[in-house]
Amino acid sequence: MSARLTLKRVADDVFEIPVSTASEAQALAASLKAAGTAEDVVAGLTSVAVRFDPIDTAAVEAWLQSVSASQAAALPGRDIIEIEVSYGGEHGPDFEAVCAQLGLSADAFIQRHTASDHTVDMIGFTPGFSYISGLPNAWTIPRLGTPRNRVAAGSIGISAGYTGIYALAGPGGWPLIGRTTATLFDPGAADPFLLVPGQRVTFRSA
Amino acid sequence: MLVVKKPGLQSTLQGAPRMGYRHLGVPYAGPADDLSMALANHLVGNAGQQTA
Repeated sequence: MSARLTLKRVADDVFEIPVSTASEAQALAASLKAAGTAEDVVAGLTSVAVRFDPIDTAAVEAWLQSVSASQAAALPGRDIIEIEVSYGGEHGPDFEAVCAQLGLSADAFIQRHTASDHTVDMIGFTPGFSYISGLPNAWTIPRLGTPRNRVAAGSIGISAGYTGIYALAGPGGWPLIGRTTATLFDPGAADPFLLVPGQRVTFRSA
Repeated sequence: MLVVKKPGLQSTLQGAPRMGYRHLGVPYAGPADDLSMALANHLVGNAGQQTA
């Protein structure tokens, strides 16, 4: 990451910096957070957004370029987190339809979903909602035609090649395959959300 | 104590925006006009951005 960064001014007070991968975005975001006083640094799938005080934009640009020349901060090592999932039934009302779309039995779906590691690529949409990569490429499930007004906290869906977990209750349009009772949001904790970008997870059938 | 005698449409209590949590998907929220809220707080002798 020694090349000069491309700074795209997407608002008066926001630069977007394109990168290649989610892990590259996370490493760059960690470097920027460690090195400066930007108001917000948000890692996406293929970009990092930096919100800054626009009173002296030239100084911000110089600062961003000086950080890019430094070593990308290593992401803190975190143990893999196992997420226990109740697949199907009332907690996963779309589970059967998803299995049918994929041409898999329920057991085959669960076997594959629990077989390997997954990684939180991004947080967004609503507080703590995690986009988790690691599904087979062929699992391209579309969103529901009509979103639900409210899905429960802990609901787990799959869509667009990701497993998504709703940390909070709220509206949702992803086909739901199950639910976890894991504490995903703890407002009193220093780190209020269990899942953050870069976190590796496995799923286990409850 | 604050008594709400007659709420209007979408009356809410708003604290200062929560900055620095966007990477966790948390928007700033807070008052639509934080300058006016700061001024109102100042006029009644509150320090900083008290919930209003």
